[in-house]
Amino acid sequence: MKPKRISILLQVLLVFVTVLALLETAHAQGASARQVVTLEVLELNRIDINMMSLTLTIQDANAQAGITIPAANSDGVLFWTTNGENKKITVASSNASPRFELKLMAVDVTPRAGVPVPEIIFNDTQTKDFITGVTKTSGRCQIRYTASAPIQAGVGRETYVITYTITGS
Amino acid sequence: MKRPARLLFPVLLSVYVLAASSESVQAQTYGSDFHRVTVTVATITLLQTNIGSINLSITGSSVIAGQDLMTVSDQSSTLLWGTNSSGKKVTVRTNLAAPKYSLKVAAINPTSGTAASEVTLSTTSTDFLLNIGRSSGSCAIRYTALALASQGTGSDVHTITFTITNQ
Repeated sequence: MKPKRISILLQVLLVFVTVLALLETAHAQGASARQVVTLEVLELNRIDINMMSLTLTIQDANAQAGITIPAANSDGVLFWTTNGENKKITVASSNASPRFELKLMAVDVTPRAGVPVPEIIFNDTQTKDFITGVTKTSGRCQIRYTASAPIQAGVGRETYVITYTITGS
Repeated sequence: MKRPARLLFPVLLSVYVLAASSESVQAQTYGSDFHRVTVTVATITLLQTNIGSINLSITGSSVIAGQDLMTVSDQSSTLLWGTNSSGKKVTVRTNLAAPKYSLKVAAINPTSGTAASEVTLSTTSTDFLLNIGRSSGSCAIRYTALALASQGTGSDVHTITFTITNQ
């Protein structure tokens, strides 16, 4: 066989093998690709408040009754989210022995986001339930503080650090 | 100068004789033959992801107090493709028939073709990339998971299948 023919034959074989290899590759890898995606949602609890500080000023009194007129503030809003079950929101004051009287109440609680307890009086530092029955929900409520002071308490200023916590029931 | 001139003639003659001889060799043909070489290129479609598994986890940083919706996104993986056929597209589907949470996917910055709109994954194949005919390219794969606080905790495992198909 002439060298020229051998060369051509080799070239044809090379092309054939290359095409076969390409077809084999295409067949092996196919026209689809797979990916496994795992999504995990762990228990998450979030609580937030819109105002870092607020002031209540008692500046009027009922002369006939001989008492001061309470001051109220509902500017604060509390927000919470949990995907866990059987949670509640508690509240605690930093003031162990207050001179005046400060009360707290949840107003306009998002439906099915929890059950507010009756008005709370901050007369110690004990943690108290504020909203119960919080399960897999998100919600909000207005925080209404009411401050009052007996005439005998005189004038003055008190600071409370109020801490809201979402916790297990 | 006369001697070199006299030598020039034999040299030129020798060159002419050699050139003529070479031409004569090339012109000598004792026979010829030919054959036909056919190269066939089949339709080739290749599709591959650079990462086999993706983990999405909704953490505290993606949760906002007062909002029911919690989300997380991942754009760490890439889809690579090659096709020598026109009129092709890439579709996507999941094997999970009833996921607890919603999972969306979108093609980001494709080097060729057109990204379809972000789709919520289901077991029905949905367009992911359009007009990718006769090209090789890549795009980022963006997954976005949506979970509601009211759905509680849990996990979903999807096997996502990307497919090149006729458009």
